[in-house]
Amino acid sequence: MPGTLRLDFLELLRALSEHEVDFILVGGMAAAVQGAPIMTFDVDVLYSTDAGNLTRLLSAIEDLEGYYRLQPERKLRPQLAHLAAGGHNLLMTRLGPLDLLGSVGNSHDFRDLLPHAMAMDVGEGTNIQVLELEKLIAVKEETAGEKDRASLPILRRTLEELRRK
Amino acid sequence: MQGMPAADDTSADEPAYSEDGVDLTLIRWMLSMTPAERLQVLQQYVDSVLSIRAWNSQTRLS
Repeated sequence: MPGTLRLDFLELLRALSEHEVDFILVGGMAAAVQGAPIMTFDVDVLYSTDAGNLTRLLSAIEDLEGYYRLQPERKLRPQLAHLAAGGHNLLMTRLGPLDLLGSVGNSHDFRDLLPHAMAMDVGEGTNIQVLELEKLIAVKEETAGEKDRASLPILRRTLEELRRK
Repeated sequence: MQGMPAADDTSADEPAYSEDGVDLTLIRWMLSMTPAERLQVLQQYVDSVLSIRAWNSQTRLS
């Protein structure tokens, strides 16, 4: 990656929030903001595929100068049709890697998981929806790859400690 | 934000590790913070890693 790489998680989340994108923070960062000592380099978000939201999301991606990081030299920008397809859009932005996910686990989409999300202030009044740790664990267990299997014990123990508090 | 837990920061009724080897002191330390502070910890971690990588790249070049 270029030496000028800049990652700013809060600014990235704030950009999505300011563009009024409907999303839920999932993945390692969702676990970390709930207390799991897990480190990650990207922001994973599950987005709503409603037409209005896709337009707002596209606007946010433009603001963030997002492009597909699979072929970084081509700097391909996502189009509405890509986002509407609801797959995984792995982007690089001027504020760091951003994974836009249409679904997670066994095809859970934004609408399925919104009841399992909670609002959190992640800094400077930036309020976002975060997938609750219990559901995050359940989703990871459904399709756990090697990386997820390694982190699951930490997530489970964090949930236990949270419940003890 | 509170500092990292000390190595001897344990008590008899609160084990340092779970049965599956997870460091519970780190979890308790993270849980002592607000979500915003936890995000700052994450940010500081990646900043540190990127600084080290940049430093290593410069060292290799010089």
